[in-house]
Amino acid sequence: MKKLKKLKKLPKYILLAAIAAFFLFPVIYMLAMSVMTSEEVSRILDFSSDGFKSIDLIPQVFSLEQYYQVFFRRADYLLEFWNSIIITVPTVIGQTVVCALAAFAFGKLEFPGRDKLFFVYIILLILPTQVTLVPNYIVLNNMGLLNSFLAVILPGMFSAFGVCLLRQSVRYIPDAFIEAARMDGASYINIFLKIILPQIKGGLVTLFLLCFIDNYNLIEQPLAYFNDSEKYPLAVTMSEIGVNDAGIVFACGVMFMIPPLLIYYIGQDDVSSPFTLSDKG
Amino acid sequence: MFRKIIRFGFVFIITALLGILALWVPLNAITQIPNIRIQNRVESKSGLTVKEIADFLDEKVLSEVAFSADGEETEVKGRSVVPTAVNEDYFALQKFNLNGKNFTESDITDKSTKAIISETLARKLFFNKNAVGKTFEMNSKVYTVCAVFKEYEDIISRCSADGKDRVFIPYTGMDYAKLTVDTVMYSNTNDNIKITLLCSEDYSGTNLIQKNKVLQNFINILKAEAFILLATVVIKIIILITRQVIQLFKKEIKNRYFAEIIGNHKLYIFSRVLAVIAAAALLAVVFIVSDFEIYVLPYYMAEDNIFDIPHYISKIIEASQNGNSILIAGDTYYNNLYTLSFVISLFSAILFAFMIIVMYKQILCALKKLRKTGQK
Amino acid sequence: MKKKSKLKKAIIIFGITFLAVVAVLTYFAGTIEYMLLPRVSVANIESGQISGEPVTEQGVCLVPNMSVVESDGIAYIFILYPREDNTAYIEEVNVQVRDRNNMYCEIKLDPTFTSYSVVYETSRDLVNGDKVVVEAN
Repeated sequence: MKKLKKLKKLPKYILLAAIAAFFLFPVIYMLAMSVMTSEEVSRILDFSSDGFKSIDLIPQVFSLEQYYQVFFRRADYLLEFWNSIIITVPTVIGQTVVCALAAFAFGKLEFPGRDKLFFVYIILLILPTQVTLVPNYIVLNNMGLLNSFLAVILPGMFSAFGVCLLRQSVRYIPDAFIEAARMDGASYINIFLKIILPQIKGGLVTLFLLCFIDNYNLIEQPLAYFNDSEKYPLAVTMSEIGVNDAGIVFACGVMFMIPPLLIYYIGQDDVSSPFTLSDKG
Repeated sequence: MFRKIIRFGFVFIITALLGILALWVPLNAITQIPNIRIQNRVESKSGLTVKEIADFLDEKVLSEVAFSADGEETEVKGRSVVPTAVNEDYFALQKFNLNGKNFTESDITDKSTKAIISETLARKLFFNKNAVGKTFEMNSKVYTVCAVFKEYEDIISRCSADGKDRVFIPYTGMDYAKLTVDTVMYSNTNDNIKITLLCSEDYSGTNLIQKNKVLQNFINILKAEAFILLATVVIKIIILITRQVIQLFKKEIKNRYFAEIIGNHKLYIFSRVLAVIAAAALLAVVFIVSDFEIYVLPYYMAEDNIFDIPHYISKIIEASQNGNSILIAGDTYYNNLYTLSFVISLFSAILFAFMIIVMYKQILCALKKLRKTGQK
Repeated sequence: MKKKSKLKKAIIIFGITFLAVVAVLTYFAGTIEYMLLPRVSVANIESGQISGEPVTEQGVCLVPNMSVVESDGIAYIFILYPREDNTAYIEEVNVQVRDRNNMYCEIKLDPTFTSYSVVYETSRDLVNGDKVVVEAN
C-alpha cells in the first residue's frame, strides 16, 4: 500500500522539479558563470559572430577572479551596493510604520469619508508608477529634494499597497477586543501597540518582504531623480553593466542577489496570508 | 579548558603549515625541473667551445640537445645584463612557456639579431612584460625581442637564481669559435651517451631525472602518511560495526534461532555487512592505485646488503665533500633549486610526521575525556 | 523546529558577516587600491644636448637612458602627470632619438612636455593612462 502511494506522487514530483529547474535556471547559470575567468565570460558573451551558441555550465578553469575584481578592485560597485541599502532600508521601515497606522485607522476607526478615501487608495493601486513620475519630479524640485536620497525614500514610504494589505489583516481582528480595551481605559496608541500589532505580525512580515524586494529593484525613480551617477543604486548599474564590464557581470549579480535572499529566509516562517483567521483568545 | 583549546589550535596550525610546506616545496621543484640531464662546466677547466659542440651535433645528427654559453657582462640602457648564446632547442627542452616565437634554425644560420628575455628584464627595459617586437641595443647591435618567458617568483626560486639578468641570443651572433660552453642539456635517449662521453672531462654531470624521482619520494611519503591515517580510521569504523552486529547476535541468540534473527533484522545486518565490505574495498583500491615507491639514487645503493648503514653514511659524507669542492660556472639554477628543495622538504617532512603524532595523541586524550564525562 | 531556528541563526550570522565584510572592504577600498598601484621612480627632464653645446631647437632634452623604449623605429617615453595625494598618472609620449651615450639619451619631444618628469623604473607593468605612485629615490 505504501509503495503505491509513493509511486502516485512520483509524476507530481517530476513535474514540480521540472518547473522548479526552469525557474531556477537563470540563478544556476549566474552562479556557474561567476566562477569562470573574465576572458571566458567575454568569449561566451560575444554575440558578434553568427552561429550556434552552446550553453556551458561547467567552467574550464575554476577561478574566483571575478569576485576578487568586484570586492577588492572595483570600489564603485561596493559603493553602489551601499546606495541600494541606503535607499531600501529607510523606505521599508517607514512604509511599515506608516501603513500599519493607516491600516488601523481605516480598519477600526470611524471617521467621515473613510470608505470613500479608501476607494481612492484602491484606485491608486491600479495606477502605474510611471504616471506619477513627472508630477513627483515637479513636487520634489519645488521642495528642493532632488539629487538627494530623500527623493526616492519619501515617496516610497507612502504606498497604497501596504495600506490595503494590512487593512485586510486588521479587519479580521474581532471588535470585542477593542471595546474591552476601551472599557479598561486604554488610549488608541495603547490599543494599537498592544492589541493590533501582535496580531497582524504575519501581514507585517509579508509587507516587509514585498516592499524590500520592490524597492531594491527600483530603476526608474533613481534614474529620474538623481543627477550624480554616484548616487545610483546597484540595480541601475546592473542594467547597463553588460555593455561596459561584461567580465564581472555575474559576480556582481551574485552580490546583488544576497540581501533579498537573506531577508526572505529570515522572514519565511512568519509570512502568513492575511486571510487566515487568528483566534488568539 | 580554554588553555587546552589554545594549545590544540596552536598545534593544529603548526601541523597544517608544515604539511603545506612539505607538500608544496617538492611539487614546486618537480614542476620546474625538467626531465633531462645536464653537464655543467667546472670553473677552472676550459671545456668545449661552441663551435666544437655545434659541429659535433651536426656530425652525429643528434636532436634535442641544447647548450648555453654565458658571454661577458655588458650594459643595456644602463642595466647590466649577461648575453647568453643558445641554440634553438634550449627553450623547448626545458619546457619554458614562451610568450612569442622561439628561435628557428634559419635564425641561427642567418645570424639574425633576435633575443629572448625574461619578464623581469622586460619590465626593467620596456616597463611592460609584453615586450615582443621592441628593440634594444647591446654591444652596438640592435636586437629585437621575439619572445618573453616567465620566471618563477616564489622565495625558493629566487634564492636559487643567481640574480643576473640574461639575454638569450642565437649562438651565431657571438664570436662562437672562442666562447666556452657552460651548460649542455640533453634528454635520456640512447644516442645521447655520446654527449656524456664528450663532456666527461671538464664537465660535471647531473641527472635531473633521478633528482625528480628523489623529490617525488617526499610526496610519496606524505601520501603514505595520509593513507595510514585513512586506514586507521577505516579499520576503527569496521571494528565498531562488527561489534554492533556481534552484540545484536549475542542478545538475540538466547531467545531465537540464528536464521530467525537474520530474518527479523534483514535491513540492519545487510546494510552493515555492505558497509564493511565497501570500506575494505575502498581501502584496497586506494592502496593499489597510489604508488608509494621510494627511489634511492644508484650512487648510494649498497651492493649486496641494503641495510648496511655504515655504507650509506660513508657515501653521504663522500657526496657532500665532492659537492662542496666543485665550483661550477654558468647558470646553476636547477642544481640550487634541487638542493634547497631537498633540504627543506626533508626537514619539514620529519617535523610534520612528528607533529602529526603529537596531534593524534592530543585528539585521543580529548576523546577519552569526553567519553568519561559522557558516561558520568 | 530546532533545525529551523538553527538555520535561521546561521543565516542571520551569515548576513551580518557579509554586510560587515562589504563595509570593511568599502572603507578600505582606497587603501587597497593604493597598495596595488605600480611604484615608479622618476627623473626630471633636463634641457640640453649630449655634446654640451647650448640648445638651439625647442624640445631637445636629455633623459636617462633607461626611460626610452624603442620598437620598430618608434620610440616613446612615459611622462608623469602628478595629482594630489601622492598619486599620478602616466602618459605615453612619442619621441625622436637623436643621440645617446651610456648614461643619457638626447631626444626631441613636444615642447609642452619638457616641464614634467619621466619614468625610468617600475615595479609592475605600465600601460598608457595608468595610475601610479611615485616613490622617492
